[in-house]
Amino acid sequence: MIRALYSAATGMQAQETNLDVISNNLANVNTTGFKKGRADFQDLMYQAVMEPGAPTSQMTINPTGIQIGLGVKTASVQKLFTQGDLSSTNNQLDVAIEGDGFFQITRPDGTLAYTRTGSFRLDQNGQMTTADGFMLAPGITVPPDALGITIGQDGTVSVKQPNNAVPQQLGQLLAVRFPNNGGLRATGQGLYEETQASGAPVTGIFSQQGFGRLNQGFLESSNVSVVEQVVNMITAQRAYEASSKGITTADEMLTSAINLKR
Amino acid sequence: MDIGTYAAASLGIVQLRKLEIQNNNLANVNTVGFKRQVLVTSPENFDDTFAKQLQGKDPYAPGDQDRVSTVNEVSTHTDFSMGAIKSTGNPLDVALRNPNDFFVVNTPQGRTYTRAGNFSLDGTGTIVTQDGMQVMGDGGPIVAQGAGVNITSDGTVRAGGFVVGRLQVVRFPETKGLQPTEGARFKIVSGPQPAPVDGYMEPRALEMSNVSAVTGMIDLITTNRAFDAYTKAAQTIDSLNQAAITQVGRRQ
Repeated sequence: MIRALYSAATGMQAQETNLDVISNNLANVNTTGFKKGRADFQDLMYQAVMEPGAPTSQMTINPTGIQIGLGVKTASVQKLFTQGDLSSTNNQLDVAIEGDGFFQITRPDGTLAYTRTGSFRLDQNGQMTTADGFMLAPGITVPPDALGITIGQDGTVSVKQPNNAVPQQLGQLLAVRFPNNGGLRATGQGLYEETQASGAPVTGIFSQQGFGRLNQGFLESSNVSVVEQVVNMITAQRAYEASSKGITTADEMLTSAINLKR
Repeated sequence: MDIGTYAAASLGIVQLRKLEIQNNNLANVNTVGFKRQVLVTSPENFDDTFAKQLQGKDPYAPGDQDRVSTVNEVSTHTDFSMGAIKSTGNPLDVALRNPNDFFVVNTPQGRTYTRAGNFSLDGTGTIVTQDGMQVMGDGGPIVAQGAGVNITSDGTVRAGGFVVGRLQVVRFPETKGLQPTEGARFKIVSGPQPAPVDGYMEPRALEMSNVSAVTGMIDLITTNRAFDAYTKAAQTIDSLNQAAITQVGRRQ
């Protein structure tokens, strides 16, 4: 009987996690480069009250036994790296990746992180940085007299300078991808860290060997669909309610059982 | 004691067990590939035996052997009907179209079968389940290294534009011999091994749980009221006994 209470409680806990993930997705519906999360659930182990094949008489056996499931658990909360829509900004330092790949960023502590948020800025030294001021790795420094910055589909950054008809090439944005994007650890600020589950980073050039193409003057919108998330929210709420009714029913039946003795 | 008290009590216990199973179902209403469990009881045989006993007949008389053997026999049964197919857009999600088809998953406890197609990759690019168990392809686990992993409707896995393997799909002509284990996976306890078939699946979609909140609620109400009815029966018998003890033979 207590099993019935506990398995219903696991159902409520799982749906709470589900709602946490959905709420975070909805909160980031307008966050550039945001990738939606998804909670995946699995049923817990089964307790065999009667083993399959237990004899029911000398002649007969129980064909399937009695197996009682113990509820549900959250197996994983994974990021889904599907493409977000590209929106035009006409800003020359906005770059959107169309396809697979990440930009490589150096954090202030010197460690590397990866991002798809291509809304770059220039700092006081002309270094290309993220909105948080984290520098690209390898870094790209734009000279102060640059008239216009061009970022090619393959990540080549070049500038036009006065008194020079030929554009000056400054460097190239490094393309990075992972065997398993879903295994990256999200650290906030649109950044991801390598983990054992993601595998080691593979570097390359944008637009080549399966890496995505860069689009200057565009940003990748969040891949969260409001309709999808709201539908998920409804199912999460109903599932939560259903499990709570399971607890109420278990409680009522216990009360009836206790009231047998007058 | 009156035989009716025991009958009411055992029927009540069956309802408690039913509730345990129904609550597990409800907890898994959002679990990908979950299959509903049902408790199978054999009430006719149960009633028959008690009816015989009440009529003063020997319920264990020869000739009724198999009927008697199933008295009180209850077992759990898995309802393998299809769950709703939900489109997700995620390239590593696949939903099987044929209700008797299963993916093959290697676990430390041996080979298991699942319809939960919410796959993932591990650090080496191998296709795994959400808890990291390797999913079998036609020639062993599939390593999908390269950009843009994609699964087509016949289970072919492409990575970086190349075919890297094909998801193994097996068909069970009879699903009775399958027992649930954790992770929406099933193991064979009896019956023949399944035959490999050409998979037919819906890419970028998932088969959700086949538990419906509506029938789940109706089941809860039925179980609750049935339990109430049996406790009421037990109470009625109890009050009859009480009347017998306190009133019969009282001097007027």
